[in-house]
Amino acid sequence: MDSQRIWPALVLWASLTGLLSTSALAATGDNQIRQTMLRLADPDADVRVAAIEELAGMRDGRLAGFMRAYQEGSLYLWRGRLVLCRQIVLDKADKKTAPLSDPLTHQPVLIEGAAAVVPSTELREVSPNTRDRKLVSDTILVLELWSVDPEERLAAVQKCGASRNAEFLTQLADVVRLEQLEKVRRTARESIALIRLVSKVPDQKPEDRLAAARELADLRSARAGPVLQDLLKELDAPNKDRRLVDRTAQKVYQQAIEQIESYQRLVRGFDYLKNGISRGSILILMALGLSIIYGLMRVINMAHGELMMIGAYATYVTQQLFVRYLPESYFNWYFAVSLPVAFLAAAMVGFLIEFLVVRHLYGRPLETLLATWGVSLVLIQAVNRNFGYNIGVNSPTWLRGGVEIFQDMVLPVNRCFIVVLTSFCVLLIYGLMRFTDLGLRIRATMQDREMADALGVNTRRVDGYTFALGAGLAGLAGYALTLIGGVTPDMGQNYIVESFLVVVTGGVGEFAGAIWAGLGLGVLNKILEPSLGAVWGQVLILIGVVLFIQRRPAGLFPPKGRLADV
Amino acid sequence: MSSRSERTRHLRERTAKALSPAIGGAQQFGHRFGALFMFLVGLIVVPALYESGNMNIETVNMFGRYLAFAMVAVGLDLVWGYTGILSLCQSLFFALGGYAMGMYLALHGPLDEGVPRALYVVSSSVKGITLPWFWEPFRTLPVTIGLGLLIPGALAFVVGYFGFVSRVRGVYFAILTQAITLAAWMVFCLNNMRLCGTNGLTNFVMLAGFDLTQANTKLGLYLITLVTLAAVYALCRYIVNSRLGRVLIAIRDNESRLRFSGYKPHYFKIFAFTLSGVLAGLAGMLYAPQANIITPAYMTVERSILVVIWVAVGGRGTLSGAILGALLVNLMYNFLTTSKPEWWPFVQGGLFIGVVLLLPNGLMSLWHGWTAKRREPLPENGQKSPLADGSAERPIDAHDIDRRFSRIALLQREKSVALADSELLRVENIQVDFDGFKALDIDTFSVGYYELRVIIGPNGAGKTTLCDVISGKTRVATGRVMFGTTDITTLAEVDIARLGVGRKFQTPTVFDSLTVYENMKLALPGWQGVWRNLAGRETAAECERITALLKRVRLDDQMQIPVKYLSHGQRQWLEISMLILASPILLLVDEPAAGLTDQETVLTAELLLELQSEHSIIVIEHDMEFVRLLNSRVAVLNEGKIMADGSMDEVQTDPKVIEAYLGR
Repeated sequence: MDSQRIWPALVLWASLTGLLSTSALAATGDNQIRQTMLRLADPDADVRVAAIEELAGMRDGRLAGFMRAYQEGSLYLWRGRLVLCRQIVLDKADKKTAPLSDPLTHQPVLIEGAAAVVPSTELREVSPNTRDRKLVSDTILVLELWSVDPEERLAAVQKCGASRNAEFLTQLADVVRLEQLEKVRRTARESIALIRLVSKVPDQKPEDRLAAARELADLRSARAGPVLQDLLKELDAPNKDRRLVDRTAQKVYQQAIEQIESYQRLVRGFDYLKNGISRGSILILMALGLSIIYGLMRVINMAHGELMMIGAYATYVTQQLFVRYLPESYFNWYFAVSLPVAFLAAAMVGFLIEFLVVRHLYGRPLETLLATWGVSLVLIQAVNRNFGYNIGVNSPTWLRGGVEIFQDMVLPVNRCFIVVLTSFCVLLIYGLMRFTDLGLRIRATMQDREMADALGVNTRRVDGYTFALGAGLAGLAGYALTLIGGVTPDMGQNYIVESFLVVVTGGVGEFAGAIWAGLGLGVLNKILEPSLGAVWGQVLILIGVVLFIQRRPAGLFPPKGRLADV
Repeated sequence: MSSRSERTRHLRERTAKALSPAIGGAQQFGHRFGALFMFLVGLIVVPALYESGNMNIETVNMFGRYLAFAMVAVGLDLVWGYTGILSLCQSLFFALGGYAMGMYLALHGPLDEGVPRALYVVSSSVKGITLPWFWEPFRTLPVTIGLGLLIPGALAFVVGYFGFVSRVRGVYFAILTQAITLAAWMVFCLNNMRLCGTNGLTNFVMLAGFDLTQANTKLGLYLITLVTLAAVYALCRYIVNSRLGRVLIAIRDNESRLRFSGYKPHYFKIFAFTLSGVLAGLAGMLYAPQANIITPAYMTVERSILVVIWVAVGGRGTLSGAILGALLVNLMYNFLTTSKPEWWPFVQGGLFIGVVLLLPNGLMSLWHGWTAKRREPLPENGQKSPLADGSAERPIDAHDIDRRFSRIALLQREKSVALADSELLRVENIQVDFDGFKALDIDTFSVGYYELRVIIGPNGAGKTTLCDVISGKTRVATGRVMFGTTDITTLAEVDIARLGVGRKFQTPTVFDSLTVYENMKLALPGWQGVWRNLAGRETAAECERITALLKRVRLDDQMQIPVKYLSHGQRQWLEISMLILASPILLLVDEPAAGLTDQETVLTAELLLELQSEHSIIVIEHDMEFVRLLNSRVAVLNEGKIMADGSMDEVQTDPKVIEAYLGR
């Protein structure tokens, strides 16, 4: 609901402020700003302080950057004007020279049409002295409150709250009044309440402190939790003077903590669900392939994890090719291109595995398990030799970030993408199995290989296609995994056991079973992990699955009837 | 063709020897000789080489470690090669034994205030570690050895118990064990478990007063390992040669047949699995002091699969192959990791694929093939031998058939006298539901003592399902099944079989890798317990009964031939003979005449009529001629319901039956 308002508002705000600050103000306002800025170089300390305070009041988005440069010492006086020089460089004659740029617009300073590069001796550094440093850093914070970048504004508002400095209260109140973004306004209110809760604010009554606590509770402020806890602890310590107030304060704080906690529990639950579902989605992609292959050929494909790894490396290779041969603006397209690439690469390797190894082991399931394990060892080592151990796949920018659907509940775009991809694949596979000729052949071969053979189905070819299809799905799982996990040659090993568990829990060859088991195990993993630790959570799941197999050897949806092998 | 009988005998001997893991006399001798030879090499040649300075102590130590690996492989062969259970827990059992010994050794190594120094390496707090309670028992050697055997054994027992009782099989069991191994590995890797995390236990110094760094101690440990391995090998050899070994193979071939013969296969599986766990633990205990380290890396799933590959390389189901494979693969590993370490994964992977694809029966099969080739080429594995086409079956002449028909007529007359009023089996109001499809819905159906009942009906009428219900394979939704005075509705197959219900399946279910005679031996009543199978031998009287019965079904010539070379009809009769041998009270015979020639059908009818004087029989059949020969009361099943019940003539004139079945 909020998200619908946030995005258009954000775009509007960004463009508006950008427009205002660059063009309209440029002519008249900039001159005034530059005047004030120049006073920073004044020998009189009072003048400098006044200048800083004046700049702080200007609320120009560009000034935060300027002040940071001032703080870092990148600001210089050159021929009576302020210039910015990020780095002194050595020229050919080994002399120190400085490329100059404008401190406000960051455009290079021009001398006769060329960028100005001057000997560093001509520059005089302009930087705050020790006494002014605190003031400058506060000013940066205040200026950031009015930055063009909404993320920066949000961070600044949060920092103000964390500083517990009562001097920010007026600025924050202005933010609440003037800010366009709901999220920033809310955070500003939160910061105000936080400051009121803990700092000594002039002319503040004890009741105001309690009101701040109530306000924080209403805001479901996650940041206030620990602060309130500390306050409560302080109250519990013996304190004679405020014994009467204590009771009510204690009650209010406690209520506030409870209110915040219960909301945070909800948020945590949401996080488990979201992480679990995306992890489960990858498991589903893996398990679907495994399950189809097992259902058709009674083959346990131990190399399935490595097919996933191949999908991930195919994505990596595509990315590298884009970086090397195409202009940077095309970079984001690599992720779209690598979708089919990952699928085809894994499918091809899968097809080869079937053709060279699995085909010759028909009817010997345990031996295939060993042979495909051998294949997986070879694949891991081959990739390790050729691509190295730990490589980075960068998500495209359009898959970074997230949407905050409720307060503190962020839906990351990449995880949504994974879920969508999986759902799409599941539907596609379902359609393929249900409505196409190949699907009919696959199902026929699954149910009775000899009969299908007798009816003219080329079961060998069906095997090959199915194996390639399952492998391709694993490749897609690897492709999706690059968004949320590291890419290593042995990444498949971490997923293979769990995928098996999904297949086994869901029941072999069962579509619905694989989906439920995948989601269930994924979510369960994420729920157990924080409370028990990664290892014990995993161990508990393994034990759970062992017990489950023991209770129901045929999975969630066991086959019934005379042919059921009990 | 004068040499046919000679040829038959010859083939019989060799097939029995070379093709089945059940090893015959001559080959057993070969095995023993080879094993003894290798043992003596290890016992005399290796120490001699060392003493004469031609082999350094590190090589002896390496052999010692590899012999410990071989011990794990022998245990796995018992489980995987013979019983057909793929366990990925072996490395865990091995490491548990290793850790038990490792804890003892660590407690007798360098200590800081009573705490092994190795623990400080992984601990953040420099001082003040207290040893957890589970370190305490490992202060003395006897307790350590006891626990080193007990803990893996107990774990194997528990895993086996829960897995096998609920009939987790094949790939599912492999994955289950894989999960357990993975879980244990994770736990052992944790630093706060106080087992030194991934670094493992190391810095071993003293074992029972001997200095582990001394060359003589290493030689001693090598010899102990060698002797222990020999003992383990002898024990396993004894087991696979005993009746129990036959049962294990029978489990691999056809577990469900075994269950209907009154065995509880899970007991045997638990026995084998637990034994393999104990052996792996023993190996681990011998390994740890020789390697001077034990880490969680030894209990990974990968290590377990490696054990499987050792057995596969050597040849599964041969025991000696397991030892050979373990030694060869490890020597290769040792060679490669010192010269070209980055190639090891390729070689290992290639080995996995190559052995499985090109040498499915391992290196031992090469040896067997070589010894056999010197006499006569073997029939291809899986193809039928010349015997199977029926050429070796005795022909039945016309005179013989006439005699049999007159005997059948005689038996038919006798039968009416044998009919008794009292009911042996009574089925009441049963319903069976397969996902909404009502497979069976019977109000009452009963069989008297010494009665021969025939059930006919079109396909899908529920005939076999009725048999399944009676024998306990399928559970009813409602109703009950009474056998004598016992309610058998909810009993397990085994218990029903033990009460005296024998079952012959639609397609003959026999143990393919065993000989005809061994199949019969397994069907003997009273031999279904684990310990009796381990220790006992059949009495002469029992053997005579088997021979007599086989003569009656004309299988006496094929007694020593593995069942997989028999024809369909012979398998049918073998299964019926196995039933008769078990002397059940009620025989369930599902389509005995299916796929038989006319002559064979007549023989079968005669056999069934003869049996009627000793058993109650339910026959399911499609063949009307056959049913007419039996001349018994017939029940007609259609769409799960009994449509008609009476003599053949009554049934045949029933208009409903004609419409549903005969009229077509």
